[in-house]
Amino acid sequence: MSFVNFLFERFEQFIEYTAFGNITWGHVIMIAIGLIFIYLAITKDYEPLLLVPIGFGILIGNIPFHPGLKLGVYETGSVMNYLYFGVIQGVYPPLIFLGIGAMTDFSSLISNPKLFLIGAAAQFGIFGAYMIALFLGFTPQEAGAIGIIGGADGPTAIFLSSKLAPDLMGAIAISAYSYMALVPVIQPPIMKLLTNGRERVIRMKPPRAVSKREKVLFPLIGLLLTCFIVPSGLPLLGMLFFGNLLKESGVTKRLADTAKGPLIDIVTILIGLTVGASTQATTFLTMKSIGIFALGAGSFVIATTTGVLFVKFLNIFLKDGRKINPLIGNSGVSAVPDSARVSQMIGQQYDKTNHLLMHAMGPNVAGVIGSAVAAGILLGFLY
Amino acid sequence: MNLRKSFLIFLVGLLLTGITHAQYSSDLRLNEVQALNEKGPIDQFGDHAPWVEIFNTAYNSINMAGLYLSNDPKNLTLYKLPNDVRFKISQRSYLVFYCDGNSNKSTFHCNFKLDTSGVVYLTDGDGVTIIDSVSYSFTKEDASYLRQTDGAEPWVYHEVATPMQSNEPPKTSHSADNFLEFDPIGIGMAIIAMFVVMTALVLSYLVFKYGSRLYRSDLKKHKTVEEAAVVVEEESISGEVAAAIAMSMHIYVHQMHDLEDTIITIRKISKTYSPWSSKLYMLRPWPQKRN
Repeated sequence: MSFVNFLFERFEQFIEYTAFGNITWGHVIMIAIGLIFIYLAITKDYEPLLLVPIGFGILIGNIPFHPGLKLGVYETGSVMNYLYFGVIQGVYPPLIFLGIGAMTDFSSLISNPKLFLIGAAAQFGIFGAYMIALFLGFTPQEAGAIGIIGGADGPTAIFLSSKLAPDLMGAIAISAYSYMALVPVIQPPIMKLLTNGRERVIRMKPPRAVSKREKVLFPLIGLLLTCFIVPSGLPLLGMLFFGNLLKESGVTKRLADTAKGPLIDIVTILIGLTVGASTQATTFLTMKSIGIFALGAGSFVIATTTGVLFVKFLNIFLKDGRKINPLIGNSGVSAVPDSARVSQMIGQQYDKTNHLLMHAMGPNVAGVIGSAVAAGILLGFLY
Repeated sequence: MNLRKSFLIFLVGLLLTGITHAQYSSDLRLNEVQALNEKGPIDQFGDHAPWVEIFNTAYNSINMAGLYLSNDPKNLTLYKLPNDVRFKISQRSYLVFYCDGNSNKSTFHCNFKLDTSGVVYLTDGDGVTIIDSVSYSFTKEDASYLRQTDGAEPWVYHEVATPMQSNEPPKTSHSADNFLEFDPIGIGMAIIAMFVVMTALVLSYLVFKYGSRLYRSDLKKHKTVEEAAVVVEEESISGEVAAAIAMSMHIYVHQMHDLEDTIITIRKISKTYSPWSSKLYMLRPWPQKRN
């Protein structure tokens, strides 16, 4: 071997080890998607706390490298693989629920418990998408994991897909978070289409003040009620109500502060980054992923529609003065607090003095409970 | 060369640098061995031969070409898997190699034969790094030595071999399969699940609507009249007022625009002297000639 040949061989070897030597069109497409996510998060302010880690994770996951160096998220023993463990084993989502519980005020729901029903009605989106997914040829487990996108709850979607369809988890998580970020785009046209001018200006009775005792007992009663019916929802509901008890008890402020602050921040970073990194082009860019995105959009539309229609249905039985503004029906989709914010914004377009935010938070947090219950049912039936 | 040309060359370069697929050989595992195959699985020539099964634990496909199989600890490179598209093992799937010492049959036949007892090695392309190995000893014909769970410990002897399929026993009544069989369009699931969700949340509604009357007052008695007055004042702020305050703050922070943007503020910048930033102290002075 001549010296020149030797140099050429080493150069070729070097090229093989660079990203250029391993890139595919799939990687280029995924990197573009990652950059779009980061762009939307920074310039449009769409769910930046989620889209920035996920978008950057997509970049990390799609920088091609020479295999066998223990770098990739799917390579056993790599650092990314260790971090990804929390996703595939369903560790991160309950921790996020702990934080959500510690930062959620359930007062609006306690003061007006019939808003629970709206949160339940919006879960039709999950099972509508489940049926369509089955029709399209997905297996029941895959259909269940895809359907939960309609719950508009990222951690729940990740938790359920990690159990039922780990292969599809990346696509499901990305789809769920994308549509959660697009709630202000998807929901308003449906809300306007399904309501008339008179309904949009309904003024709801201000919620009553809620005592501390009620707030303390809410997580205890809520846990016992929901988990006795659906024990498989325990990891999510247990942590949600535990976090809320830390907040409301008033004697565990430090724990509540940690749960809703540093802990949820750390887990959000880890879950966002690793879910993003799991979208390696070689496993992510498939026809199934495209189907999942289409079904995700469908489930959001169904959930919003059923939420709004259910309020209209409920109003038939309610006396004047106690009627519910159907514009809060969309908030049963548990994208907290985005869907409640959409209710407020749309309500303001028709009556500047009508504030729906507080009322919309009721079905919004009921939707969190409802989607966790729905996930528990799917897990119980299909796992 | 202008920028557009540079970009085009870059793109062409990307294409020419080629497309390779992910290979994570460390994710491969020897998954099953059958050394005494008398009535068990047959190869493509209808012969019973000893075999080993390899399982890809990863969620990526792996090209096994260039790896080695051996049953000799002193020579780990006995059989090199040649370039063959069939050696690309899909995610979470299996490949079986017949170890009958008859490698001229096909590339799936190794040039060594498994004895009744021994060790099988799967070695990386460098011929040194052992990816996985398994030690076995058979006393019974057609028995199989396999991992109880694909790709994981422990290994167990089993009477039934499972080449090219999961070692885990099939679940006889998988509920998901039942749903697919009896409820192919999912309407049953939708009805049952919505019923359960509704039940859970209607029960919550009833409990919090009617049960809460029993426990609405606070847990702790207020010690002083002043303390109670503060609480009453706090609780008298209705949710609607709170929402209005929150909304106005949100609009103020995010949406309010006034003429401030068009005002140019010229601020005089002055530097205060500090010996820490003084050039006089920081720079080495030019050597001065002394008389």
